Amino acid sequence: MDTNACNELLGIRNLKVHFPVKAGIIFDHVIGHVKALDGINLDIKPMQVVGLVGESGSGKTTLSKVLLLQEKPTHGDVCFLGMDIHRLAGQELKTYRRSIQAVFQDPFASLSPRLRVQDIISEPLEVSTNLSRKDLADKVVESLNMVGLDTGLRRVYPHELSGGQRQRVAIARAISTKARIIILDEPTSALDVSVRLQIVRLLMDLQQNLQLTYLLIGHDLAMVAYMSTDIAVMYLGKIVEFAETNELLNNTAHPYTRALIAASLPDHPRDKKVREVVSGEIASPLNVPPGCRFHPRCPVKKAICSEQDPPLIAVGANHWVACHP
Amino acid sequence: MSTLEEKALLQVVGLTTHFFSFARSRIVKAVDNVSFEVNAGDRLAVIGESGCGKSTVAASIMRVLPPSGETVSGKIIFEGEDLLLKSNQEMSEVRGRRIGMILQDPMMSLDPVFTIGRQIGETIHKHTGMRGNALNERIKELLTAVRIPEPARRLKQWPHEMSGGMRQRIVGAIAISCGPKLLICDEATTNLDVTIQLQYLNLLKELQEKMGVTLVFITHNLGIVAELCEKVVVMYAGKIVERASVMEIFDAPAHPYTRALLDAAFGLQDIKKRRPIPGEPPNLANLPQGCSFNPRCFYADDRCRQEEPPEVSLAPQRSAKCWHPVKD
Repeated sequence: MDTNACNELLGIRNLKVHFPVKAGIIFDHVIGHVKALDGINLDIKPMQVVGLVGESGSGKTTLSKVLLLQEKPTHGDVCFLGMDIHRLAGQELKTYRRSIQAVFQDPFASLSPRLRVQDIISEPLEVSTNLSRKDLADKVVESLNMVGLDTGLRRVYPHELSGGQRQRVAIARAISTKARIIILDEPTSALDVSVRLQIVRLLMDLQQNLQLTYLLIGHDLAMVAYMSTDIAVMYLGKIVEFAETNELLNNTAHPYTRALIAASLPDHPRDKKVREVVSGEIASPLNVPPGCRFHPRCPVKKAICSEQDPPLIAVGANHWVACHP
Repeated sequence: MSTLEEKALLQVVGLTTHFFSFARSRIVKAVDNVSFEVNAGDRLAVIGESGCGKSTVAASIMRVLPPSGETVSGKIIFEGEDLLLKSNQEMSEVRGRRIGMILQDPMMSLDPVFTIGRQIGETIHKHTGMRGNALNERIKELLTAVRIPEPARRLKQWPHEMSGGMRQRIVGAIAISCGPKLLICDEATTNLDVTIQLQYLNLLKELQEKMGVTLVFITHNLGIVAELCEKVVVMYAGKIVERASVMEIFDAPAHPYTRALLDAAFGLQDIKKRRPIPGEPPNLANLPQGCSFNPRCFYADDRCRQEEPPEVSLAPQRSAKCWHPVKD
């Protein structure tokens, strides 16, 4: 997480996204800012699976939108192989768009009901390459094979497919362009419990076979921990802890991460224990608490916590925490 | 089970609920011959995935099925009376007063155009006729019971002014407002963040201990079952496939489906070998022949593909609907 030149696959530098909040009808004026992202630094290396966990409102999805060029940052920049993604144009922009793809939570909403499976999968290729119809059709078959779907399904519409099959189509679309980075935004939350592990296994196999890099967004720490090599914990627009998965789970340093782990439900009724429950709820990003943003809920807060925002500091090998020691 | 009958608060016997479409030519057997009982003070979990009929069981008990749904046969005996024989008028005396319900999405359960005080008050006024200051005091009491700070200010607020966790607490306050004997929670914490979910589960536990309300928790989340429940009913494709105590379910699941669900669940305590379940849940309008789980089952043989298995009793209060229940 050093702040010098970006030589990683994806380098996020002091990224801020503030949405103005306006009041008034004719003479509207800005009355405040929703600080969805407030200074994010994150490096993503090739073949890493970075998990982003945090409660709703912590900015996980906004970060993915910036990477997908759907949201402009207020401050800071994102580098892809050393190039600022918000200054790309022409062929470079096309290359970037081809390199980064996404799989969203709800495959009932993310697939167009009017397109056949083959058109859904080939659409990103049509806009970013000049392949012939025959080549496109071959690519579709290849992608369907890779996600374990019968190639006969290429002519059907999404409504004829089950939830798990649809999510496989969404994954086929994401890998069809030979993307290097795939953003997985809660890829299993909308699926049946008995199907979730199938999809997770498929994603993990594809990651190995195609040498993909994942940014995995999730609120289920257990699922994120199962898939990720590294985990970033976000709270109200900031990363409060970052470490390798095992390090994060075994040497948890931030009280919020501890709270998340404590709040995850037991695997077995025997593991049930009386746990420290963090009180209160996540604050509004419109009205971020002064000092450390977690301090109103923190069980170990000190005087300094309400005054100074703790910087992200190293506490171990590649283990970073924003908490006053 | 016969010795327990007099104690049972709710007895569901042979409940069968179908959904009809295309002028009754297509039948979806959402709930097929489901029987279970809940004793006073129990915490029962009904587990299953979407489409297994668990929510339809709840809607059948409350008699709030959509127009296409119909309870074709069965009995729902609550405190000695069959709810299916009651008139709509009598049923509205049961709903809210004797049986409370908490649904998944609090934004859908609450009306956006009334203050939360009015929405809580409506239920109490309807069932008890309470009004004025007494009603206000009762609302404040309830808000305090569900741990909402500053109840006097909050009762004048609108649902949109509150967070998801708070809204679900308000729904909880409405559900317990008339002191129901039974509280049905249908995926009540699925929309909440994990830290808020734990707060809510603790709140439900506390309410149960203080008010003696009986909980039926409908969920797909095995963690909630481990955390909160004592008895478990597992549903698959409209039928109950296993019933057991929570310890038995987690230690020695008898039905291959239960076993597969446990093997496929994510957990933090041990990130170890997990085994995915092949295939997907069946279409209820077109169930496979024989056992509904046979196309996905690791133990299925010819008999499973042809004949539907009976419910086999394995021990008192413990059964599995399987030709090859796993015995330990």
